[in-house]
Amino acid sequence: MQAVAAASDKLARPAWWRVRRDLGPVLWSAFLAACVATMLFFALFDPVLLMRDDSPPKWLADRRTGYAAGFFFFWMTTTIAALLTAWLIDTRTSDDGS
Amino acid sequence: MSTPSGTVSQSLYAAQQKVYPREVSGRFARLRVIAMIALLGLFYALPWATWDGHQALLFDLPARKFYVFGLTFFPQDFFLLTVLLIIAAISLFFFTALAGRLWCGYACPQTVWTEIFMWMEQFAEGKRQQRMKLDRAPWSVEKLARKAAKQAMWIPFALFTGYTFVGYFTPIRELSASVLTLSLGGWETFWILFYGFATYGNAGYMREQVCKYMCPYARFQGAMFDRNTLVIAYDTARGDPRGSRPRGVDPKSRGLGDCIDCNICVQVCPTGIDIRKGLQMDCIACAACIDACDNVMDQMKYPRGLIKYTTQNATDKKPTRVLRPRTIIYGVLLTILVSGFAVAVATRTLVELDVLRDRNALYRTLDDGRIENVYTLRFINKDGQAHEFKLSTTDLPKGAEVDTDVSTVRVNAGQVASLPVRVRVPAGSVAGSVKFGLSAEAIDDRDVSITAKARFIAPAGS
Repeated sequence: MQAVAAASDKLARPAWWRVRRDLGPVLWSAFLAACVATMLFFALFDPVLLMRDDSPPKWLADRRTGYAAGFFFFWMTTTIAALLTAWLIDTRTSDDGS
Repeated sequence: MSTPSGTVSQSLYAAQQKVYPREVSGRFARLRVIAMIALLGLFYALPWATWDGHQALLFDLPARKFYVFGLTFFPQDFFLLTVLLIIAAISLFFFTALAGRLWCGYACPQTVWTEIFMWMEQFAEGKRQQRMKLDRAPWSVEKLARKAAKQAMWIPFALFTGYTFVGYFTPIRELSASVLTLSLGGWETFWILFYGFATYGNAGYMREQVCKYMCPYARFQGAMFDRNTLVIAYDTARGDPRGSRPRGVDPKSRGLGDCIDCNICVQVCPTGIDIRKGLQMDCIACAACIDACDNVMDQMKYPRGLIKYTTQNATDKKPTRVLRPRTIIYGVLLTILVSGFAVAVATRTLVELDVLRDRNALYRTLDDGRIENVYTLRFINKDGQAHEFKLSTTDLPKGAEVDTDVSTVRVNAGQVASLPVRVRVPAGSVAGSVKFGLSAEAIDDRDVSITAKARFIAPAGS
């Protein structure tokens, strides 16, 4: 009976329920990982030197922009990984304990 | 079949009961205020300090230089930063094992900023009961005025926090000049707003939820706890059974313990827990409940310490040991790392030389048959004074020459200088490639010298 109740709970949930629930931890853990990655990466590589040969787009020529672009790139990548993890472990089925 | 836990996991994300912490006074509240003033004062004042004509603490990311008082660090010193982070982590473990969540209760930025934001809230909206009443009440002129007054304190304070934070990465005096003339750059504006918003959201609205749901340390700190760790606990044996009683009545005659069940310890808790239910992950060990309970005990003329700092062993009437394998291991590790760090900083090379090969051509054959390789040298002078360098090579065949545009290179204190260098060897003296050394010696101080390895490439089998 309880499993049925849990299942109907699931059906009764509003659309986007799972995305709404997972998004906070996903973005936050991805943010922490992106901070570490940005720090390590730019300690080793200077964004200006990285771009020297391949004529970067003008808006990327500044170090500040390089750092910010790098950070958001890492955040995007880590968010994809965290989202996929949340999706693959299928957070729906843990509800009824099975 | 287990119970459906949907409600449990959902509750993590469902609308939270807002916590209205009651104001508290006492020994630990005083300690917390002292810590708050010291830490916030340090945070807001430090960027304005100068040292040797530069900002004393400046993490100049655009220039890739960190100024820490008399020292200048470059990306090449990154391993020192790594060691520093490891030291910080182990210190946290060490103090957690010894004294529990001292960090959370007194020093964590989340606690400190939440505390000052709550002061402002209390100033604008009144004490706990008044705040709760105000929130329940329909919108009125008074409610609007009080809420607006709170925002009028919160928002500028949050923006000033963001501005100060950016001041650690951009010279704060220049920053203040561009704020005053409204000529702030795009990135500075973005980061000031970003950190300002983070402060505003975390200290104004998220508060205890940051500790409960976002902080990784809150999740794993339990692993550092043992029976000798200092925790805040309610003395169940002494306090239970709880119940109200008239003042001056011997509780034993009514079959009661010392707890009068006034619930003040719950009302003062910034994370909204009941410490009498035992040690909980949500407890940030701020000791507000100790002060609150001590005040009540004083009024009741009972001895203090119904809620107190104690250890599991002390509660079980066993001896508490400060020295134990866990603290000894953390302590030894910490000592080794701190002394290693000090030695590394004291003895680090003050001058560095990087050799970058010209990326366009491996080698060039000159008209007279000699072979030429082109390099770019990068001098990094971490010293507090300028140096003038002279170049020489080692391990190259006889007749090799080093050609530069200038005879000596001057590198100012804390600066990086680049120099193109052409190295030529006689025809046929090198086949394939050889390693050689490029040395720079300061002509003003013979003790300052540095050698970098480079590779010379010539046609194979010539």
